[in-house]
Amino acid sequence: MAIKTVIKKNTYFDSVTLMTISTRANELESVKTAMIGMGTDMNIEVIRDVGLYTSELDDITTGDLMIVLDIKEEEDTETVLAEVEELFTKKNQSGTTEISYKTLDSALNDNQESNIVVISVNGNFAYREVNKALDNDKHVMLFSDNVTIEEELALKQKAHEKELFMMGPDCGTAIINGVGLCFANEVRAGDIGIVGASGTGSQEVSVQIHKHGYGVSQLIGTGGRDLSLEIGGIMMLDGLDALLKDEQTEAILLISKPPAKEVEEKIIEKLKNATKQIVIYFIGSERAGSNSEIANVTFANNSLQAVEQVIQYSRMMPAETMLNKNLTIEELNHISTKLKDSQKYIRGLFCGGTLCDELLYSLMEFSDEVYSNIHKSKDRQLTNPNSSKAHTVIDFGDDKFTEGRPHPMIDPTSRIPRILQEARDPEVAVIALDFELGYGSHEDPAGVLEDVIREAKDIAENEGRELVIVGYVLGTEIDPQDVNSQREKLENLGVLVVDSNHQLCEVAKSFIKGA
Amino acid sequence: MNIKVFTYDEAIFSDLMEQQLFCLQRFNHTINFGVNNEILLTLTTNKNAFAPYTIILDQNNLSYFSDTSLFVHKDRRIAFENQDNIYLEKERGQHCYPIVHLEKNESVVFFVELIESKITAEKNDTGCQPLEIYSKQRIKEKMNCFKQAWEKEDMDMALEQLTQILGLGVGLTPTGDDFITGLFASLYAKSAFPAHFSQLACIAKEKTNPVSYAEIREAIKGRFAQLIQNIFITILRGNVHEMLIEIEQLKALGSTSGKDILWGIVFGLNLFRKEPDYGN
Repeated sequence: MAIKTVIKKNTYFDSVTLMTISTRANELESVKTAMIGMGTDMNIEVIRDVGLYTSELDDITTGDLMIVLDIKEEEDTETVLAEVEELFTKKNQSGTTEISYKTLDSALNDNQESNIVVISVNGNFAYREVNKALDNDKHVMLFSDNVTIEEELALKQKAHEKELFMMGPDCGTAIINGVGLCFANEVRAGDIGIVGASGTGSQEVSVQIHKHGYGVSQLIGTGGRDLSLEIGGIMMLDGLDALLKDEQTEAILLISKPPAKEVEEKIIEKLKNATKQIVIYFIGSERAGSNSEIANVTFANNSLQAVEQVIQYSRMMPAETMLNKNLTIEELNHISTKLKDSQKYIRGLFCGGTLCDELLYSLMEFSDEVYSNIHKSKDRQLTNPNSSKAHTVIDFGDDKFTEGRPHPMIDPTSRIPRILQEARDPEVAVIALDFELGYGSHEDPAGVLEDVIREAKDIAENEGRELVIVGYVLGTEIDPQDVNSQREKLENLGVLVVDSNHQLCEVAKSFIKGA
Repeated sequence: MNIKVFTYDEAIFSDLMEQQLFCLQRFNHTINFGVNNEILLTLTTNKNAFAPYTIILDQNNLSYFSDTSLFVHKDRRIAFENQDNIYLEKERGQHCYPIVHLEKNESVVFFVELIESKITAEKNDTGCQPLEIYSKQRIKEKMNCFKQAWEKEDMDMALEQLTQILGLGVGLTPTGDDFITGLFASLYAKSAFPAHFSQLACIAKEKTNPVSYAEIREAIKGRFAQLIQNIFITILRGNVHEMLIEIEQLKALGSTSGKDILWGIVFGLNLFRKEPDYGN
């Protein structure tokens, strides 16, 4: 063991730089502890208390930066010092380039070479800002919601005429030239292009592509209403065109929430002349899972199947898969025997709208009694979304739940009271939950629900019931959050953790009597 | 190069007129000027950084800035040796208004509970920063003593505890200093800042670095960055959505500075939570 102290006289680094260097120094293999801070009396006292004081600190002043290293092996001292010094040198060279602007005008003025603008403002102002960006010949990703359908149509028509993208409104995710925007996951670069009219649906397929060892060339978001009759799929058609021309893209996956039939036909018609392999997963479409009349087009029945089909057309050498083991039928049957006869309903409480849709349509295959706040059929829409009946799936990202509060992927606490409410219902067999990782999402979505899951299980147990909770963590091992520790947290609470949203649907369905 | 001013603190003209100031610290987006190692004026390009004695420039960064001194002229002009003058037009100036007064406890209680629930959810964010872990532990110990002293109205003892956390922790503005800034903001919001604590300015000059000292010096005078002021404005309004936005804005300050200031704010507001007067 060796203690080494480096003093940088009268040296100031901004806090972010200091913290980054400190984190990296502590991660160096040969370093037991690295203490990096300003040379104040109180910091020196801490250094003294932990037994790392050396005489070099005798003359330090408050304006000096101190680096105190506890090195595991003395012979590594020189190497470690060089590595730490390199951290400082690199930081000095790179600096930070993130700048905040108060207006789009000043941002555009200072960044004339940029070609894409991400807009997240109050919906009332979104139309004006997007227009401004389009007038400046910039592609737009519009995260804001509460934009009228008329405004969306006008903006998309304008963008189309100018050969620009208008991704949105309510566009939650995109990966453009390797850069993740808004709620994007960290996934491998590859040759599969995605156009998605669904935020979490696009996240799900990009994550599953990664987990299967393949990669994504571009992920183009369109906004959830793009395939409505009013909009006519303008952005999906433009995105498709772009991917057909993109040299990096070998195969294309199209994913959408339930589309308007006429728009679906328009897209299929366009694909007749497409030169690349295309897999389509339109939730709730009659074509889902059917044989295609077009040679290079495949219709998938679920998100996982869409991925399994599209990766067959990739030309890249697959990396090691990151798939986790799922529960066997025997295991599920065994758990099922613990349920009482009265426990017959599934309750899905989702942050991700498309994940919610996927369970909704999946349950509808087995039961007419499926209700939701996002059900297409009016008579199956919940009149009071705060109260469940029969099988119920709730999208907590829907406008009614997000008015005046952040999206549940940012703040997942909105599900807490509902989980307890469902746990108290003696007719509930299964609660299904999703946990999204990636940029923009909460840093510890599983941790936020730890206490309530424990409490929900206790409520059922005290009433002599077994409550099944199924959880899916949507994320990759390279996302900012640690997917494995998120899964582990849930597993430790007795949650049945599955490896895809499709499997979440399958597990949930397996608990329906007679399914 | 034509330098545009985005906004500035009007107090520059009342307090720094006809003074020459020298460059003390230089970062990509911020340059501190002052005399005798005491920061008196900050030039920055960060549009969210409105704070005492700060001029915010409408620029990308300040890497091109080569001057080592500036002069504040009474005709609202900042003169440099090698750069164009900056003109501080009156309409672009603003004041660091005092922290809004929180008379009622209702939204204070709500805010504190909101933050505490968020902090619980984010408890693992210290990562592997040994100095951070040690210093936070020590701040907690000292602030337990502070609370006891505060309840006994023993301001000497309370001041002593603050002295013990000055300059303590990671970052350019160490954790203890940011905590104190947040605490003082809460004391001002509750109109309960003890004059006795003003002594901390002299002590801070010795015990912490010049950047951090400048923050504490102004906090003692009741002058805070706009990001801190905004937190109290949203508490007064009681709008949860606004609170969450402002909390996130403050948390984004520096690496841990914003979070540490928030910690101090919550600690300070908790000192007044004894008798919530709901609806009164």
